[in-house]
Amino acid sequence: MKETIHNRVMALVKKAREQGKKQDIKTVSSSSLHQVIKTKEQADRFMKSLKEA
Amino acid sequence: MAARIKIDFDNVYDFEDISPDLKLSSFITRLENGDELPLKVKISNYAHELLPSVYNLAFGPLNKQGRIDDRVALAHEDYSMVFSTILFSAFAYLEQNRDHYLGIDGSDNTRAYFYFRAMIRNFDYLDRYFNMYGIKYFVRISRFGRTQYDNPFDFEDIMSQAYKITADHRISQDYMYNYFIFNLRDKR
Repeated sequence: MKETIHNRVMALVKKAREQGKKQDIKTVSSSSLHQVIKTKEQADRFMKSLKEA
Repeated sequence: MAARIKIDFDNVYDFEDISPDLKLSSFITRLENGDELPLKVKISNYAHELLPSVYNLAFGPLNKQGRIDDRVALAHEDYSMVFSTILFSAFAYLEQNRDHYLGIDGSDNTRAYFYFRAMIRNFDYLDRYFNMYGIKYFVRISRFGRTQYDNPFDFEDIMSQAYKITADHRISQDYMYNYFIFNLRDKR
């Protein structure tokens, strides 16, 4: 990773921690993935495919 | 959304606000008509109860109800800067949450194809920072009915399959992924 990118990430993290305000807004809907995975078996199968991809 | 996007973390908008946990940030985009519009980038507060490391990322302006509208069509003056800013905030979040995955919905095929094309065009750059995956949903055929009106699909039995996106990845818009996931690439 370029040092400048790393430094800018660290600067953003610092800004968030020092000046950041806790806010909460809602999204329009939950994700499609969250809607189609309804059982532990489906979730386990999906995570396996993700890690093996 | 026909713009050719060039992702560059050195070319991002300044963040107006950012929450301490990096899950919510906002910046001002300029539209083609000269208007300025605040955009929010929101990582879900909670993971799926069955997928404890997968968080959804949404972005867009707030609608009248104060919710992020991730389906609105906007004509940005600089798409590259908008998407570089969104991905930079995601990257910063993942740097602080290294075992998390972030997912983005393609709300329709056109938008999903737009995201995919942007990933492929910027693959060499993005590959330095992220692993990227396309997700497809498959529905099981239970059995074919005796008449054409019988529904053979079992919509309770859906399989979600992940495919690693690579530089030479090709897929037509008609068979586009339903969802995209990315996580932090291990430091080399």
